[in-house]
Amino acid sequence: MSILQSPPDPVVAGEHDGGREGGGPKETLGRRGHRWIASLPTWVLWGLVVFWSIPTVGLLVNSFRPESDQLRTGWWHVFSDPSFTLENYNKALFDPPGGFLSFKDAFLNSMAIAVPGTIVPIAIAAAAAYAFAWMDFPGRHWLFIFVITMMAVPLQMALVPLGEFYDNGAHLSLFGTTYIVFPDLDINNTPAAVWLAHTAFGLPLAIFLLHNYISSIPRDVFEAARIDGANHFGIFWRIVLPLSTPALAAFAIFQFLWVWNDYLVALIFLSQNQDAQPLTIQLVNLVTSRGQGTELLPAAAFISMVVPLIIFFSLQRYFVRGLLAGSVKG
Amino acid sequence: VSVVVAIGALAGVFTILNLLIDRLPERVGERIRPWVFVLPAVLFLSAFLAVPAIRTVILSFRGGSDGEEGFTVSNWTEQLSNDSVLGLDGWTGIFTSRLFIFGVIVIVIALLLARRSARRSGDPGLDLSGPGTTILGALAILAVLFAVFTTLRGVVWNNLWWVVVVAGFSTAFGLALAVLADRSRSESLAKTLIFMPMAISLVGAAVIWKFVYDVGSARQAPGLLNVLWPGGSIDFIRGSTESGGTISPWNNFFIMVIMIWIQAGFAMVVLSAAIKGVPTELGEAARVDGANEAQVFWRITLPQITSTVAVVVTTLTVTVLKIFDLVKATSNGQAGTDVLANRMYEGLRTGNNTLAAVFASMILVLVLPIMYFNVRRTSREAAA
Repeated sequence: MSILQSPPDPVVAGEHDGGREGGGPKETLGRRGHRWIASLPTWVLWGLVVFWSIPTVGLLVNSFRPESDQLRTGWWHVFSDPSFTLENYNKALFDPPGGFLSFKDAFLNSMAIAVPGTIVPIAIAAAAAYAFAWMDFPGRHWLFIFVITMMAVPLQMALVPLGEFYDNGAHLSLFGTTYIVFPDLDINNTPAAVWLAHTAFGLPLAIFLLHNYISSIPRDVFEAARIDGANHFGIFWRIVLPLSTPALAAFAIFQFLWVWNDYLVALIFLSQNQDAQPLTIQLVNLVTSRGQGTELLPAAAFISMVVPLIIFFSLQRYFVRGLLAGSVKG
Repeated sequence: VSVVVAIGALAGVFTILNLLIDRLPERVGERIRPWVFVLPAVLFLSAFLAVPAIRTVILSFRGGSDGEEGFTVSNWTEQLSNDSVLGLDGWTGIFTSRLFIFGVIVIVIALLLARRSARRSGDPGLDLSGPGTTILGALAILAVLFAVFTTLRGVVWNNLWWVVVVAGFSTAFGLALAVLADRSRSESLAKTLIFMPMAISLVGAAVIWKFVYDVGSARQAPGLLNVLWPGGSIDFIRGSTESGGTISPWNNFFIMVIMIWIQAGFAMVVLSAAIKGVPTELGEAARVDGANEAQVFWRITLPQITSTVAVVVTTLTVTVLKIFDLVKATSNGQAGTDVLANRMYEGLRTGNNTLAAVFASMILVLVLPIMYFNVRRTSREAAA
């Protein structure tokens, strides 16, 4: 854990992933024995890489094969009998068979959940993390422990009462009188129900990571700003937020992918509203519908994966940091 | 649009509150300001996580489908004595299963090896850290645990089997890949490709592997594994074979393979970073003393990264205990593949909230000791 969280970089673990080629021992191995023995690990490695990639490649190939081919033969027949079409993508995106939400709409639904589900927790967490790191107030220590403890709670623990909360608001009955603690917002089966839940589930980790990062900013920086007359609010906006960009980006990517790839929370809070369902739910619907539209499955799966894959390949450095740090999430 | 408004409003309220505090006298203002920073997070966490979690625990001890009746422990006792949750039938079969006997034989061999290796270096005890003993020991433990989990059926046993298989194999694969890549010229490309499944959803992974496991039919091409598998097609997910037999409970294992495929990349990246963190002088010194590469790995690198291995294993354990999406999207919990989180969902879906609360709490009970261990280690490392 220490390698993952040692400041100033919350996750140093991914650092080496970026491009540093294998370190010292290589030459030693080359000197000894025959050259082919030295290259054996590389062959084994690439064998495993090919093995790992085959399922994904198969799906990608299948997504471009016409319906009749797909349902008759496996994707590897493409080598003996190549024929490609974009029809599957076209149909999945714009014109799915009866009863299905188009994947274009589902894609937009996923965005409508994942974007606020990422920005809102970051905004709330950044402020809290700064306060925990550099402000003095009674109960600071215990509140921070409370936040950390919340990381241990499996999100399943929150789902049943949250559903009731969304449906009925919160009431408190004391001595025969019922007080309305929170009014009924009637947001069950709306995207807000999903991203509000994700906001809460993402907060403990966000605060923890950002706190690690922000508390490692040298004290001198703040003292200089104070002498210039800045207060906490000014320091937070003008110094802390800009300085924390790497940590914010790492968490943002982790949280975005977490929400985008989530199935359970959306399934529970959007079960009655098909028009608001994200890609993951639509994909499972397509899997379980025996019959119509099975030929669209590979294309639909790739539509759901395209955003994560773009983020993965373009922002891998931040992605690795966020993912490694976030893998302890509850 | 509503999202933009909401976020704008959030930032606006925060700014206005801070500007108001600026107007207040300095001493009062600086007392209130921390709460403007902290309270949104604390209130959010309380309302959406802490209070619901407590209510779930309470609900699991109440009668009726929605907790409308009073305190009772019958939800728990009923579920824990239910054969589909924590079945104990035929437990004696564990000791007669081939896997168990195999495991015992391997343990004996491993102990003999350990004794021999220790005697060679003039040590009176056992040498348990060598490659032979470590690998055979792990194999034996795995075999015995498989004997247990293929004999005892029920969702709790399934969840524990998931933990053993996914945490064990992912870590082993990840370690192997990290070591292999460490020697390779094209390290970062290979690692990227292995790590890629981490980016996609579990549901997407289920679809990818559908085309590996599918059984051929009139409107469905057979999957790759079914074409390569010798001796008749098998429904790897539902466990039925062409000849009317069954591979259950091993169909569980084929769903777990998907999770290993995803998580090995995670284990690889974390362990790879740890291996690169081991000072190279240690290995060089050993080589000067005549150690070969295998000895350097088993006697120097591995002991140096045990704490990282522990992090990987505990992280995977917590992830796997909550497994839901993958089971739901592959077998839907049918054919003996059900897990706790799916039972919890089924309770919720059928309107039996108390039942859902019981299964959610069971996950919490299983996760808590690991989290305790995690938090304690983190704070110890933070103090160090």
